[in-house]
Amino acid sequence: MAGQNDDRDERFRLVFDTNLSRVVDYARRRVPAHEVDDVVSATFLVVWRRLEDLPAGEGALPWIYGVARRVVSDRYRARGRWQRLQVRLVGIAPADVSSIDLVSDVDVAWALGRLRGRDRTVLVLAYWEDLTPGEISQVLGISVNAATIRLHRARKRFATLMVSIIEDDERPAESHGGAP
Amino acid sequence: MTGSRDPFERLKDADPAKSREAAQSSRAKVRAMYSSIVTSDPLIPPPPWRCRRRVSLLVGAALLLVAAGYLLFRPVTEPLTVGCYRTAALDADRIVLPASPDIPATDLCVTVWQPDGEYSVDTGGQPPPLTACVLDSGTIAVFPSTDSDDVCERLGLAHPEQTSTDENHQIIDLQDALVSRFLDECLDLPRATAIVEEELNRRALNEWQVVSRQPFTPSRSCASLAIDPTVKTIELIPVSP
Repeated sequence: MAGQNDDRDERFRLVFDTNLSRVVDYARRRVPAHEVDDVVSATFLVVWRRLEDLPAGEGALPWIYGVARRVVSDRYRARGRWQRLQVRLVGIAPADVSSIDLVSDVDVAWALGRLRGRDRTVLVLAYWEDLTPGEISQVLGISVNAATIRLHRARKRFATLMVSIIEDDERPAESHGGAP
Repeated sequence: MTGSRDPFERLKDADPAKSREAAQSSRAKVRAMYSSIVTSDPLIPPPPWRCRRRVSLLVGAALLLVAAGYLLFRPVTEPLTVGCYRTAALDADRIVLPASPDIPATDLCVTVWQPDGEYSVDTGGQPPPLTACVLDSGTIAVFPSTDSDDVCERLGLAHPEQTSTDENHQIIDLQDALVSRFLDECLDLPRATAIVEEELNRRALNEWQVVSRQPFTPSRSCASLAIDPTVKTIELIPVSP
């Protein structure tokens, strides 16, 4: 029994040490600095409790990102709900909306802000988390095919928006960074 | 000057984790986080084999009840959260939302099916008909359903009993009141305790108790809370400011 616990502890220690910086970066991209530690801690707490479900090898990180995504989503959902008491929930903030506020390139922020939440999510996973479509599919719980198609469409929409800024200079000065 | 660069290069460069000052996570801080995790009970949520056994027991019990022709109703004994299930199955993906005193459970779950909601991809942003059932744990679970399908009965679950609504409404209202006050500011332990007791007294919830099991420290000086209606307890938990 003690041996089993030791194995569990050792496995968790390895998972924690290997993935800590990736989870910290994931949180930094999505929540204000003062909330990063809480998101990281809550994510690894779930990993600790569900260690038996954690895939081995390369499947581990997408699985952990999936957990982190839910932790971040829960925070937005709770904030939206509890800060607007008595107000009906008519649109949960997608998990990656906050990342727009953290982006320093105003054109990129503007374009991200005009994408649909699912497009933004998949782009951020591909370009900031450096995930392949296969890994994105694991994070989002969709098929590899669906992830590939979604990424392709999101790339196209993002590129179109960026080109429109460059060619037409149509970005209203006051509107960048807003959610769609 | 950045205008002519490849949009995807610019997207990569705009990564907030690169541009934001690296958080100075000292070794001591990381070790403290690690320790707090591994010293927690790893079995708080039931591991999969227990879930499966519970599901098996539920299904078995349901079959017996259905065979006997019972229409089963149960009180909602865990009113503070609502589970929104992605499919009409007990092992489906689910999202847990905090309950609302004003919004029925099915309306709450509609939000995850709307455009930009987590399940919108399944139905193109059109919420399906939703049905609320009561799990073995006493929590409301909301499943997609069809007009002709009694999803609760099919899954061996009960329909929510209406008689417990008033009491549950009071508990959900308590949660709302407390969370709104706790979100506004960083409350230390004495102030947090006073606020919880005030809200309990206001509702004449005299049997409830307030506990704090984890130490408040300079780095975790603000109170968060966990409400457990089954044992009528509110636990104050230290979190970082």
